[in-house]
Amino acid sequence: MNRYILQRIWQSLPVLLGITILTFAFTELAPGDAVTAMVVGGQRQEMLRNQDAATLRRLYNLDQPAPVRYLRWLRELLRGNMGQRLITRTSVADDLWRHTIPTVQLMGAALLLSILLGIPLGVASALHQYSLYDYSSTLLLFAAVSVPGFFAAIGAIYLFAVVLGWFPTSGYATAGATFDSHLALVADRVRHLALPALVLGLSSTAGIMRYMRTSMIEALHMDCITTARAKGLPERVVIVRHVLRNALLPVVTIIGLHLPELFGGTIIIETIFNWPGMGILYLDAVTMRDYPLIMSIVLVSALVIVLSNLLTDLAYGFIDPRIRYE
Amino acid sequence: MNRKDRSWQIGGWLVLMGLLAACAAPVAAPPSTADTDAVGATPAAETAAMPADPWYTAAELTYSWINICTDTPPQYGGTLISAGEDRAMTTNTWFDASPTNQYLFSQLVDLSTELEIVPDVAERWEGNADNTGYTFYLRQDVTFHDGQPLTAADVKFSLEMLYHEDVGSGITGLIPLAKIEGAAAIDAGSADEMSGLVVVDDYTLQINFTEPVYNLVDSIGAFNIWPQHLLADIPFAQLRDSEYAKKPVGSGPFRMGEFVPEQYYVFEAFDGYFKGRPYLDSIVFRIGMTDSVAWIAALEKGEIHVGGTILGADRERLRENPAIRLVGAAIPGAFSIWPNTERLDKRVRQALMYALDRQAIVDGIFYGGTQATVWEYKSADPKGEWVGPETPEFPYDPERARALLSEAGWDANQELAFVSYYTRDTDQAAQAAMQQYWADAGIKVRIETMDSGTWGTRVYEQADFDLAQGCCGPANWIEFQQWYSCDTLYPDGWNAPRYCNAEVDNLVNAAVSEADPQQRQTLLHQATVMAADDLMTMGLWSENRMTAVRGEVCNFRSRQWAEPFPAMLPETWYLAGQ
Repeated sequence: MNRYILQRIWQSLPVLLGITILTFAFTELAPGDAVTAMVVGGQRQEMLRNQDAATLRRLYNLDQPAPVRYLRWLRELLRGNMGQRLITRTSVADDLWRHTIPTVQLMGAALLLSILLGIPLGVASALHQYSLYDYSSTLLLFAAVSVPGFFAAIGAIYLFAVVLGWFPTSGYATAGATFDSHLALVADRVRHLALPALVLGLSSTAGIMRYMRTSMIEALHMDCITTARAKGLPERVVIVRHVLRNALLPVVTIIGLHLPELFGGTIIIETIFNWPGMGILYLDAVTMRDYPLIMSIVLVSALVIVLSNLLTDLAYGFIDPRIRYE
Repeated sequence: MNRKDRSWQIGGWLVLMGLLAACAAPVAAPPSTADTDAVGATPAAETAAMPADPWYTAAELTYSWINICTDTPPQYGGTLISAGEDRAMTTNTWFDASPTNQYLFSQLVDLSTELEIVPDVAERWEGNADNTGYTFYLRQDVTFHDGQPLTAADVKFSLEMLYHEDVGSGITGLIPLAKIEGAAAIDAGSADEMSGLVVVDDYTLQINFTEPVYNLVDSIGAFNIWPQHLLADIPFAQLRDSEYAKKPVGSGPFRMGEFVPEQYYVFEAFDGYFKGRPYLDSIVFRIGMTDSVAWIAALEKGEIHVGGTILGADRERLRENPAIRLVGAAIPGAFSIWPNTERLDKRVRQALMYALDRQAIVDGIFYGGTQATVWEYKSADPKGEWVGPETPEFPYDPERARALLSEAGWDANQELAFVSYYTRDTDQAAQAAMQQYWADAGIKVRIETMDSGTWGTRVYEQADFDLAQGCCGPANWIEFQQWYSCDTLYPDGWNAPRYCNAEVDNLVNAAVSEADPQQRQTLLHQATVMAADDLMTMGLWSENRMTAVRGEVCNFRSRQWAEPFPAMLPETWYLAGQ
């Protein structure tokens, strides 16, 4: 299996290189650069407009031809340096890392919530097919997924933060607060995480639940299940050890498709909840035409997708012993 | 799933969330002594001696740009939490464009919120007879946050640094540094210092110009005074990457405290501030709290003290909240449209203005608090010191618009491209309303909304637009030279409407060199009337820019005007006890 993993990683290298070339080309082809973005949309743009375009491009290292800038970026990347952001002059790697942690926390909590809710609800729906429970749970979850994220977020803030006061309205942590213990710090983080995770998690629960339900129903009608029952196995064992295991395969694929979101973030929810995640960083990078940051985000995203696919493929092997990797 | 299983699952979820959270940054160091969890916390400890006299003037009670607390005298302590942020901390660096910062730095002079020039570090100043030389006398009790005294040498160093092309400051557009004696030698690379900046003694600086400069005091407050002893050894090209840029040292009322990227930063009271220690212990700026949904909820709940600027229905709703105050005033200039003067005939530009009932639009969209403006400069120059009294007003007159179009041979099938990067609800509603008014007059307009980078390329680089919506417009007559002269077409400058009228340029250039104030005013009146008739810019409306704050933030000031921005005097803000 190690050989298989190495082979897959090796095969992905040209893909990743191609992605960097395409990303850089598209960034260059997009209208505007960091200078035009700053002069129009930046703070105190009136002051910047006192400099001519050539001077500003020289100051922000945009005066070199595009191929030269790409090759320089690639050379630095191969040395393990993702470079500096054009305007803030901060390290791209540092900024990526700082935004990755909150994103993984938020998206991970949301995904976990949707798995923990979606799988049991899907199983229960399948076991009680066409019952009142089946219909009502499906209806409720689809209502939840149909509500736009921004609306659900505003409603959640109003109800749980403003009216009930259970959670803070937004933010990643209480600004400037001091904590007596690590436990208090964790509690503060969880309080801030709860609302955005709830809004995001509920919206993806319906999908997982429906896949789980369909998959379970198919598995319940498999010959091996009939055989297991005929052999007199208790129903609980039949469901958990045989039906569920067979039904999980397509659901794992769906969960695998969600894995890159752990890194990708979500712009709307992050903006409303003032959550310092990847979505906001990426929006900022694109808006300000900050090509070193755009390149690095896309490269890391591509890497995450490649690894997620690999991880999903490997997970099949654990779930279904018939699958072998050569 | 039975009840027990569900309980286990929920419990497991909570534990896992906790574990995820535990992976976060370590426990933050205390930025202040105050509890900052909620703004309802009582400001810490000491209370200043009760002032014998009222702590406010009768006039201040009438100003919409200051929140006076008549029932609570000034008191020390407390941490103020603000949704605002300085982009120098988050998006730019302290040296990009080099705008002033009133928390960390001092300036030579200030513009008060009543729009008068008042002393800051310079306690007095004088000009010579022909306005080619100015002398500034500095206070002798000003120190930087590291305890070093601020002297005339720091002011000289700051001006020379800001003039250097490697720094990237835009100050030269405001302060005529290029006219200081010796600036040419720096341009030529034959000198590092300006001979026209003379340190007479530690606290006296003389500035000598190569030609008369009449508006120096109006603009000389537009730069921070930087510490020479900390910056002199750093090459200017490396300033933005320096350690200093991450933790600047100034001489303002607050000094840099803790900075947690993407979350918040803290400014702490500077005990040695020359005007006296600020009342507040510290100010926490929440980073990224830009979405109005987030900050309005936080302000109403009391998690923050200072929100953002607010318009339309949200403003009216907050106005009803007794815990909230709206602080601010009308801004100079106006939201405006830059017509592509190379594409659109002057008569068509005028028809576009006559076709709009601007007051009806703002009344319908902004719920009052916004004025349709005759011409954007008039709102910036209410006394008519440089805007001519005969500037045409272009009142709503659709018949006149149609007549002008007919005279210009307008093709009713032609469609104009209106480009904008404004996406607020109020902006989009206003765009739709204007589109309808223009359609009624027989002008088809296609609204194209885009991001700022694309807008910049379409307008400046490609000039591929007919009408471009831009913010706030010019606010003083110097901007004629900066952005609306024949010398400032892209790439030499950022002349958005591509306006080029040699006659206007000549009048403005003559005014710059004119010694007689009355004659200078006459020249400027002629120039502004001409540019207004040309519709160099199409002024739409002037907002009342109001900032929403909690009622307990006393002495909070906010008034947006042209650079340099009016002094907010954060050292005078205090939190009323609760």
